[in-house]
Amino acid sequence: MIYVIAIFDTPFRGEIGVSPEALQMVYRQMQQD
Amino acid sequence: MVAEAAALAALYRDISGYPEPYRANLKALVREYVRWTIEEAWAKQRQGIMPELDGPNPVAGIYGRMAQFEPGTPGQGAIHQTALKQFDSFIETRRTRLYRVSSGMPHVMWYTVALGALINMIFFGCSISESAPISCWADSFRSSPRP
Repeated sequence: MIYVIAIFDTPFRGEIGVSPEALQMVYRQMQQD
Repeated sequence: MVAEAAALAALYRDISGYPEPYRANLKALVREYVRWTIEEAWAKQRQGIMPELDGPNPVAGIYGRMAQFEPGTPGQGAIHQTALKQFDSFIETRRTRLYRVSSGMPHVMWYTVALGALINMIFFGCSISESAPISCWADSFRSSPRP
């Protein structure tokens, strides 16, 4: 439980944090323009 | 994160209405910012490093170029105003993300969680077995001889 709290407390840190998927999608659209 | 990506996509669409050479310059700057964020800044923020403190700030270049633009027609003025508002939205979402990289739950909250976990473990240890090593430290206090 403490581990889960720690993960959600810093969502951008570590390998299992938030990924830049949304930005990658936008970048692909920009390259197609 | 999704809000920042959406704001960038909207900004990219807005600057498509600028005349040349601003359009091509700004589109290249925004594209480069997105590439830099994905490939370089993301790796740094995974280590807890604020990306903009460890190198040049590419956002300043985008704003600098937008600020140079002087609208020649009312239509261009409207597009410029919309793009600047969209740029502000993008900056707000970006600052929120950067803040989350370096901030977290206050230390006092962590102490509270740790204390709660410790108390939980003691009571759990007492409840499963009377003969366990950590069982009922309260009993051991009661059985200790009084002076």
